[in-house]
Amino acid sequence: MRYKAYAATMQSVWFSDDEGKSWNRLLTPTGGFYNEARVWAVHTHMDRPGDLLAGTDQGLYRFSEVTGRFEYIPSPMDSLHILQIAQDPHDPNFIVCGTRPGEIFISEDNGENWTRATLNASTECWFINTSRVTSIHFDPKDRDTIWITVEIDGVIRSTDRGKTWELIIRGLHDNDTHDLVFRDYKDGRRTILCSTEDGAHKSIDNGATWEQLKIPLAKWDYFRSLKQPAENSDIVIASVGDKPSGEAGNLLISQDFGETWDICTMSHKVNSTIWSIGTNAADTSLLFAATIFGQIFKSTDTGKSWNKVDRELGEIRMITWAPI
Amino acid sequence: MSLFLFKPHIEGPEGNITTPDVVIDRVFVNGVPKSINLVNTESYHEVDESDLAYPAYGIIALGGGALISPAVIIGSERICLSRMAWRLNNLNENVGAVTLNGISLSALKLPANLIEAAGGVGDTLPRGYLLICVASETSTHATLVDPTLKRELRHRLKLSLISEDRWGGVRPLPRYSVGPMMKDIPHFI
Repeated sequence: MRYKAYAATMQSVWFSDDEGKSWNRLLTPTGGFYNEARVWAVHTHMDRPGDLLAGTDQGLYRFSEVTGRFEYIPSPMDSLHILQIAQDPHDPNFIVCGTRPGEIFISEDNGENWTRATLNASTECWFINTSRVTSIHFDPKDRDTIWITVEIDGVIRSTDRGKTWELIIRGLHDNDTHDLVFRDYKDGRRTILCSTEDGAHKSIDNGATWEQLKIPLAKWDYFRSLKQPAENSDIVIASVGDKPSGEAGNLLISQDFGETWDICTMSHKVNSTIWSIGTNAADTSLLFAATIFGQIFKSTDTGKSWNKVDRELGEIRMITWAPI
Repeated sequence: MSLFLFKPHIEGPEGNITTPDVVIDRVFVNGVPKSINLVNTESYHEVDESDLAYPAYGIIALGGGALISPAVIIGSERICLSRMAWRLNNLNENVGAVTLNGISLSALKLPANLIEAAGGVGDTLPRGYLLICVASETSTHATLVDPTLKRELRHRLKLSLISEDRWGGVRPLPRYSVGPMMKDIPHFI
């Protein structure tokens, strides 16, 4: 399978088409995009191979393998920081973007028109002053439900495709929330895990209440990225760091959706919190992970062990990969 | 001291896109100087019911050759410039065939005439200049079509009424969110 890996950095989007060995940016004169733009989000959709959406400080952009360059997508978000992008798994024309300040913008026509959702996220928050969207998830079972995490505000859910939203934080030790993963069992039970600044939390009542997980193996409290290599998998990988941005971090892996955890094997010392883990259903054994300070790790055994690639980039905010 | 930082995406004749950031600090609409603070590149605007929108095109001074961009003028004030642009020197002799919303630029005012009136020559005009030529037909979009290279640039405004509130009658109060709820923390407010 031929694939590309993509890294969103504070100096544009970096591409690797040789399994992570080498990384390059597009040329500014031909790439359609300033090479020192700050990029927080890169997003692909399985129905649009070769396309990549990028959230930046200059607006929203779409890269195409056909043209080999970025196209600017006019939107109301040009003056905001576009931190998160998601597309409905069943409809790539339905795009949801999350920004700093904490706002949600929705397009139902592939970016042609945008609506600013009536998301009542905090307008000011402790410590980081300005709230921001840290993850967006389409509910695996209910197409009308969208979940987001906002730091610093909590878990926020819409059950009508983004028209109305409710804050669901009961039981969270900390509403500095970062990421979510979902496990739906055949008997109808559901478990959701949420990463926060103060550990991982679990909900068994669809987010109505949360309970902090006890994970003695975790060296630190700061949980950032949560990922399942495959949708609805029991396997969960969690990134943990000493703090944001941090000076150390590691990855934990659970084979039973958060009941027990092991420490992943890392080939090198991790230089800061692992900010992002990239998965793709096309190959659930292949994952990339990136520290906020530029290290890239790759796993080919579904996250058990990770090898650092030689190339380091600047500040990495998100990493992902997709077949092309 | 006011300025507008224009961040165009300039499409070349072979599809390349260059992205220089340009400081604009002098703007003329149909030859009349206007405040640079009226210039924007937003696609989404709030308007009064009585506001009319007019298609236009803009000529922007730039080192590698002046740019041409579609624009929309709201009322007599707001100058809404697209971030998409071509270079005039890629159009050359064909510029008269370029249309704005179906109207030939030669039937409006050719870029060369605008530039000449502003003290420039050919595709060169004074640094920091933006020249706007406005059509008389009303429209919320401006589309430049280059029939020679078979390409187009479109700037489409999405308008909502000032009287409308997206929250309806239930606009909430601003919220301050506390971080670690289970810890004693210092507040900085």
